[in-house]
Amino acid sequence: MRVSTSQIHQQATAQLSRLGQETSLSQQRIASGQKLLKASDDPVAAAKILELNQDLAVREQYLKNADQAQTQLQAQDSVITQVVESLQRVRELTLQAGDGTLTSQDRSFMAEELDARLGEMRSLLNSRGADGNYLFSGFQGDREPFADIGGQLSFVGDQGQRRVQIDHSSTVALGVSGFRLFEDVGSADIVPWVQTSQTNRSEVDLTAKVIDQEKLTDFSPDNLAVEFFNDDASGDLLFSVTRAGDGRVVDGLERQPFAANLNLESVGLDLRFSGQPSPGDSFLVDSSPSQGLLGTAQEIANKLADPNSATNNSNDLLRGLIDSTLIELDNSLNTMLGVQAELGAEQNRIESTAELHRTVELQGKQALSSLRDVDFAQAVSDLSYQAFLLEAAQQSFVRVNNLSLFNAL
Amino acid sequence: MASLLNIGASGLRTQQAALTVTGQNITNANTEGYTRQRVNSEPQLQGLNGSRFAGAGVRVTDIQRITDGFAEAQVLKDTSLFAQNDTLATQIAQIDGVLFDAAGGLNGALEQFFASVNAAVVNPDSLPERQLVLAQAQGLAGRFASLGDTLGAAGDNFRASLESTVSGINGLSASIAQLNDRIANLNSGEQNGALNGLLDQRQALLADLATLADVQITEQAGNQVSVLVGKGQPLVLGANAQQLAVRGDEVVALNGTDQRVITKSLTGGTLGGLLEFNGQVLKPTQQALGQLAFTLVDQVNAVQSVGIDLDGQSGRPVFADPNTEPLPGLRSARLDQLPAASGSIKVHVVDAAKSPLTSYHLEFSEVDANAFSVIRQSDGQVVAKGSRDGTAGQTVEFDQVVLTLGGDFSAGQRYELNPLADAFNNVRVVLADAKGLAFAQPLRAEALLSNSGSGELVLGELFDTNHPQLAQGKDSAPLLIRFSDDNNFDVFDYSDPANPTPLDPPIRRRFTPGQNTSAIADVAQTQQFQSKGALTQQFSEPQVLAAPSTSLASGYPAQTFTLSSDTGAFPLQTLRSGDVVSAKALAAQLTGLSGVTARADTDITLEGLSTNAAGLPLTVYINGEALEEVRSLDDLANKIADSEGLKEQNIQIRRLDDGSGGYLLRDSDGDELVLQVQGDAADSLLISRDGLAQQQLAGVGNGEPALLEGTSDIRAGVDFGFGGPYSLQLATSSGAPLQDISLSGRFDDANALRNGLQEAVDAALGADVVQVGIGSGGNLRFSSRLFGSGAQLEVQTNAAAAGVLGLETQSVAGVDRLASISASGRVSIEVEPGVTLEPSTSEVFAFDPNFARADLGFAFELNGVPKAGDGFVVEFNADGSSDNRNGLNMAALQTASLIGDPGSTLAEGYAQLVAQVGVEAGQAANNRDAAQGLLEQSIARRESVSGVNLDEEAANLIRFEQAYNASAQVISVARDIFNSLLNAVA
Repeated sequence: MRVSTSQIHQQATAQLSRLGQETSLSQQRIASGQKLLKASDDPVAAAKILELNQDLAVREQYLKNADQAQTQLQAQDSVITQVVESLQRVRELTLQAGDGTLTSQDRSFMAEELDARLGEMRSLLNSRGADGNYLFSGFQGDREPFADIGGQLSFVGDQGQRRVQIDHSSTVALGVSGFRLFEDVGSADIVPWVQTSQTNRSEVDLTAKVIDQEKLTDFSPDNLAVEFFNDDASGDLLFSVTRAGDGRVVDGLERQPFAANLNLESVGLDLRFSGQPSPGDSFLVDSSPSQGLLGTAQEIANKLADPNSATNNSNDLLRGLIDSTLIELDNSLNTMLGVQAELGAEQNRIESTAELHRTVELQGKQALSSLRDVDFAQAVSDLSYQAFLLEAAQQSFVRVNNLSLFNAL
Repeated sequence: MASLLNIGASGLRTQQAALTVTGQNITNANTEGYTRQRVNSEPQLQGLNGSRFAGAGVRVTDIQRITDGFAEAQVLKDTSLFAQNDTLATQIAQIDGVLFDAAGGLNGALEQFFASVNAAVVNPDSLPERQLVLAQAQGLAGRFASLGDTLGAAGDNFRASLESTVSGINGLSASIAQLNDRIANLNSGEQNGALNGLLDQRQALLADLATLADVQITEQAGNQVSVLVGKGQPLVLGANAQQLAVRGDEVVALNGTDQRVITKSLTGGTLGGLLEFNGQVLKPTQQALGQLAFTLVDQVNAVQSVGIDLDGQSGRPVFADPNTEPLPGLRSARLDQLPAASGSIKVHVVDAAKSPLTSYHLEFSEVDANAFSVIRQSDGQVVAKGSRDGTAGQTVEFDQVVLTLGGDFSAGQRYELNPLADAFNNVRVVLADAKGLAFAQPLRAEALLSNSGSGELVLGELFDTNHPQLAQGKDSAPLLIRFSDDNNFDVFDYSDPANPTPLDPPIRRRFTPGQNTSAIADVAQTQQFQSKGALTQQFSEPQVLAAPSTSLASGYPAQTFTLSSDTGAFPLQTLRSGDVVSAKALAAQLTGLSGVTARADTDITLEGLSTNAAGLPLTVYINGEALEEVRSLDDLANKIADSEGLKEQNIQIRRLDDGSGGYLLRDSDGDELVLQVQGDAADSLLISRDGLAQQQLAGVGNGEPALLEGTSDIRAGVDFGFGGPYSLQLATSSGAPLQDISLSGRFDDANALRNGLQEAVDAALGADVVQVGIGSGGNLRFSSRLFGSGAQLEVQTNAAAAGVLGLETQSVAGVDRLASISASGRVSIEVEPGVTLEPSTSEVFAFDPNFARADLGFAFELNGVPKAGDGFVVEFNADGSSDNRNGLNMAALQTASLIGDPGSTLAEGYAQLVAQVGVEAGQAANNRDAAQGLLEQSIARRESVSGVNLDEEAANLIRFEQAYNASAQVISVARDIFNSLLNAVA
């Protein structure tokens, strides 16, 4: 075939430029250490690299979250351990209080230590975590979860639980709610739990004490509602006591006149009002099968504190108090030990999940490296081969170019 | 001799010409488009030499261009192919590298954004962490914008290149047409040289044109060519050239005022490469990136909207809503060149994540300016058709787009709609205050401390923050979800814990323990309407019955229900209920219809109860269950509450809150309630029902007690100490043991006797059972109000007593009659949104177009086993600074499969986009290399025919030089011969 002279030149230049490009690309790969310089070099690998990067980032996040969760759970765990210690001391004191040789005076001294322990437990329950939030207050991290309300240590947090994601499909709670741990503890008997309506307009308080446990137990699970209103005709302040469940009147206490410092008895409870209620005020007395840990401790401390109290001067009453207190303290202990076991299990779960993430992360990094990183041995050998080819092409071009008939003319 | 001289001279001329052409070839060896030439010569035949024919030398016939038409055509074709792929590869390379770049790609920014969300969610009340989220959101917005800039620059580049390519084509077409003209005029006997030059020129122009577009070239008479592009669109016809023009992203062929869009038919060349880049790479990439941006913004804002921020306020958008003005108005572009009309177009995107990646064309009919259709560009389907109704806000819905048309359009107007393609340029962070990140949820649920069961309430999706129950934010009333028994719960307004009030309409649901993890599905978004109760028999007329009854006396008449779906989810359904069915049965039938949940309940208000003047107790039967010794309404209520039988029937009593002292008697299954009273006319139970007149259910005893009367006149008194022994026994029901009444002592008159006997009777039988009296004839009477079957007054006397009192052993039956009334239940029907249910008789079902809502705006799950009386409070999450539930939802967007179906995460979506571009770029580069190979081959083939080889030309130079020298020698020989002749003569 004929070959035109310009074509000899064109083909040679094209060839040289192609070899030059390849050589330069190889050099870039070696310099950057990356196999893929743009997605079109290997689209499938490019997508895979992006996905792997994403997966690694997410796993790293999960590991961070797992760390946070561990810290938080350990903080709760150690607080619970301290509460358990205090509680055991309270239990010992309760047992001692039952010693028949003690005088009521002795017992009132013991009440002082009980009080100290109570304060200790209260401050433990109101501990803050590393992030500055209260450990046991639920969602209201800025609010002290256990507060003194009308002389009663009550839980004012909520049952919310902060959680963090530690895996694609699972979250872990940053601890256990204070409600479950310290408040919703089974009591020996049904106990009254007074709730003051948030819409009450006056500073009126209601205290409820059990005087006939049997009646109250019969009455439960219904709750008691007390409402104040004005008589339409006379304008006198009246009150009614009804069942919260269906509104039926209890013990005939309907439209009764209210008198200052009213004291009445219903469903085995001694109900005492202090302050002057306004019409529209109301109370709910829950009959609760649960009593808070602080409530239990507070009850025995209060009853033993006064050497002249009825409990302190009646063996039967004292016996009953100690028995029910022990039951409640044991329930509390069991709850806490159970929760501690749960926390331990949870920490194990977090650790094993984290371990899994670390393993997968390692594999992912290897996969990423094999997709993305240059194999230097290969690349350098490629480069020297390409350089060799380029050189050969250049030299042969010069040789071919020197051949011309005109040289012979 | 002269001829030999001439022959030599002709040789000289011819070889000189050959040398000239060779020189021409040599000097043009590097000239683009030059075709090597050759001198063709032929012997001259004239001239007789004596009688022999000897020829007259040589003659140049022509100077030929050495070409091969096939080779030329192949070169043009391969040039087009190469130019197309080269352009495509070059264009894609602009974006290929940037999209994948770790620094310039999207995924790095996505990772950083979500990492900051995660960090903030762990400590939801930490302001620095929250601020970082907003900063990273800015970064993400910036990254979208810079990717948008890259794509925008590629788009600008595309449009500029398209313009210049089209104007290049137009210029080349015009030049070729001119050359055609000149070549046609040359043909009439001009020199070959000029023609060859023109042909070479035209071939070079054709080659240039082939670089720009794939053209079809046809040889015409007179060395002219015609050039066609696309599917037969002429560019050059003889001396005429036709013009192309660019309209937006489209190429149109101009023919006078007529414009024809030919974009789709254009392939090959730079033009084809550009159009392919725009259509196959740039636009899909913009749409995919737009979808990512739109989806991210939508989803983050959606999560935000159901949460509350650190100040307890409902979450505000983090990013500007892509559907707010003016953005929807910027998603369309005119394609036609018609005069402007007043029409405006707005494109709203409903759910970007589900949008197909395509643009649409909105086309108004050429003949009717009102008729329009929307064509999806990805598959050419007509997705919507309509007629302009002239309103300012006419909407058309298709795919995930809501198109709003306003103003007037003119016939033939065409628009391109790009729902997604601009979203990445409009990702803007509008939330300025880091406190505004709504990591908390607005509600929290709490079990009451008094709960005795193991139930647990878990809040589910919050699907309507505007629900009246939630819209007040922190002032929303707390709700109490309380189990009235183990299987049913009611929802109350819990603002006043001592007095929870039922919602309006009341919400009551059934719960089956063991249904642990599944959501209480029917606390979903539904609407409710209620029947008025059975039409004809809301109360039956009081009837006198012989025995307590439980049989159905009132109910719903037969009627037809028509069920239709607004969305066409199911065909029209009808249901014909049976004749006189209970509310419960009707509800069960209706619940069988799709989208309908019906519940029945029956209630009666007990307003008062009065006993006769003597204050004797009465007996009330409820559904056949006897409640005896009833003395007051409170007494009745207590007996109802204590009755195990009624509890089993799910019948409950509840005191009214209105202070009237009345009670609501309620059967939560919707069974008929039958009330019966046993007493006399003065005994009555006052009952009423919503919207109905009060009814008095009075006893039917009529004051006529069962009576046994002696025959002796005892007004003179009786002395039981005398004679005897006297024995009298009484009983008040058959078969019951007779009670001894002591007959002793002396009574001086009838009254004394009556009093004494009454005392003895009361002692034996109890008070108020049997009355002792004296008749008008002075005879002794025993009377008793006795009800029910088997009730009878029976007396036995011995002979002595019978003699004195005139009272034989005898018995009389009691009045065995009951006043009875029955009430049928009410049916509450909940229909899902989009479902309409119509009964045939609207008197039974009150129709209100504004159905009352029967949902709470949120869903919840109940786990475990709650017990009667257990309650759960759902209240506003006040001060919930540590709550991160909603934040977790936001963080979860990172790994959620948001885009498309089956769904990929945002990062995966981006990786797919990058891979797609990479594949296209790789393919274009491969195709370019292949096309280059082909082009080189076809050029080699053409060059092998038409190219100049200098060696060859050098050889020719020598050859022609030798021939020239030889010809000169011929002349020299001729001169020698002539000289010899002269010498001979001389």
